[in-house]
Amino acid sequence: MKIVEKTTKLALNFNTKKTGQGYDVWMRFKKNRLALVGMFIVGLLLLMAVLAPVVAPYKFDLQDLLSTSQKPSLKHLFGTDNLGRDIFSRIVYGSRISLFVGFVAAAIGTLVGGALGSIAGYYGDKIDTIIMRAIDIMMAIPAMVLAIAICAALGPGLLNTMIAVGISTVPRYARVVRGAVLTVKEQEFIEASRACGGNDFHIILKHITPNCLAPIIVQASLGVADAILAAASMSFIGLGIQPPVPEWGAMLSAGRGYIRDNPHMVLFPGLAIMMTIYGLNLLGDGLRDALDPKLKR
Amino acid sequence: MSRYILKRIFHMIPVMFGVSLIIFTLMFFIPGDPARQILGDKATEASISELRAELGLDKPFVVQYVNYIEGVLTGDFGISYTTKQPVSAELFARFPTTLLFAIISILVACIIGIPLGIISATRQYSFIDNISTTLTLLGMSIPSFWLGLMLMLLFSLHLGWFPATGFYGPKYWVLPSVTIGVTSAAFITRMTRSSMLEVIRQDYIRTARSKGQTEFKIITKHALKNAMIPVVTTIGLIFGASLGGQIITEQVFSIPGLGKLMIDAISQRNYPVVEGGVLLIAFSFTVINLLVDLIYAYIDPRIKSQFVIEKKKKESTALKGM
Repeated sequence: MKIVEKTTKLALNFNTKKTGQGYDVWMRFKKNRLALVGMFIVGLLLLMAVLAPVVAPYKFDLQDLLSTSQKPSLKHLFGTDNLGRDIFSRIVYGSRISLFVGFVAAAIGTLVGGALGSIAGYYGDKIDTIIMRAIDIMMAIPAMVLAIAICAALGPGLLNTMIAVGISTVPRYARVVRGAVLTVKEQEFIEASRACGGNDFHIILKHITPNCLAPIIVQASLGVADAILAAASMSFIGLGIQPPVPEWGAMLSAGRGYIRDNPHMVLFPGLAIMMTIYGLNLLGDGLRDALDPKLKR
Repeated sequence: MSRYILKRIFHMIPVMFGVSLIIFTLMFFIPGDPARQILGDKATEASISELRAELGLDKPFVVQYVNYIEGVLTGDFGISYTTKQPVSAELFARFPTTLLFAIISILVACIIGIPLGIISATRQYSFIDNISTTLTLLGMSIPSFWLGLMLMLLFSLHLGWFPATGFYGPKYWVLPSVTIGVTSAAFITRMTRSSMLEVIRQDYIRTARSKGQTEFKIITKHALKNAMIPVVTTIGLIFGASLGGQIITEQVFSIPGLGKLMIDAISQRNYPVVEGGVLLIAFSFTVINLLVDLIYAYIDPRIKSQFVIEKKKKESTALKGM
């Protein structure tokens, strides 16, 4: 009798501990200390971006012409630039721009690349050949060069930078998604759905996409970092986001001329970019390890 | 093998046509009239339309594209709007600098990255490994243009060891190639480490150990050769990526290379130069990838044997047909 009780209790316990896939992923993710550091950095950045008006001591475009090019001090934590604007405040507001650009560009890449990749993988044959040839052609141009060329054609600006960076990353998403779709589409539940009368659109969206999510999430989380870096690079050479906007790359570019006497104008925006990319890379790596335990580093 | 090379070269042709179409289309639909750009604001309508006719800008898109391709195939990339010189001359004057820069950077990256990766892998989870893993991730996160500025600040403005700008001799090469090299080295270290880790767990490494081979020889002779295959692929990809990154770094160090030429051309709306530059970069990138694949086949006998087997199969089926 006791044994029966115990087993039922155990069984009940087992049942109450019913865990989803998300829980497993989180348990694996939690074990990775570096990934947690990454999550902390990214969380802090998001908080900073959302609460920018509260965190920043000054407005990002407030010019104090009486205190231009000041070294870091208690009044101006990171110093001021050549127009007397508080660099710390500009960096705080800049996190909004950079994160926004990064996420939107990665979203453009994921959506366009994902759609192309899943169509190519799902339909195969001629459609696959046509799409993948086009992707090959885009891959022949290094991503940065492609982004620069698109940005040159569209003109500078926030929206155009996001489009340029997003499109330049389409090929890598398309390839990842196509590969994932190819492994999923042969499985029985796809056939079952088709037998139930599901059309292609339904199958791709409801059955294939959810099963390809892991590689897409990993690629996208690393893609945000790449996109931020690419956007900052383009702003640095004067193509991306234009100055009054407190974009980190543009700030760096503006501070370049003063590097000899006022290195702080260049130092802090660069550190901000580096910490952001570092955090996102750690997070992306952690997600990859957690989502796909079979994958080794 | 030679058939494989030919096939790959043949495959390059449509890709390069596609690249030229993308770039030409992008540049074609930019608002603004190049003829007006060349002649300036004071030009009369008549002279502008005359120049448009001379440059072939009044023709429809398809005709212009076909003309451009015909030119490119004979080595004529058009005329630069600003200097009035042939674009090809400007491109090929700058190209050697960019290529040299790329090669030195990738050498720096390999010299740092491969040994670091090997050491990390052979002493997994040791102090050195942890340090190198952290540095690797940091190296991947540093924006190269910022690193370049910081190196310039420290080594040329403060210490005065290296010149800050230009690219005229070994002394000038150090800072720019380290700038690009650090990021690339990070990727190479990571790839070398993971690839080595996989290889040193293989049975043949255990066999080598059990027959009493020294650890050094095991690593250099048995493990490294096999571990290098994915690393070579990475190096090829990085080479292309650094061609893109170089555009930015050339700007930082005022290196008279292709990247600087292109960025200047973009700000001057000098589109034939941009088109030519992108085409040349894409072409070099494709050629490098082809070379990497050939090296790949050369160092990995498994891949080489695939072609031999395929060839034999074909021969035998041909014989059967007779």
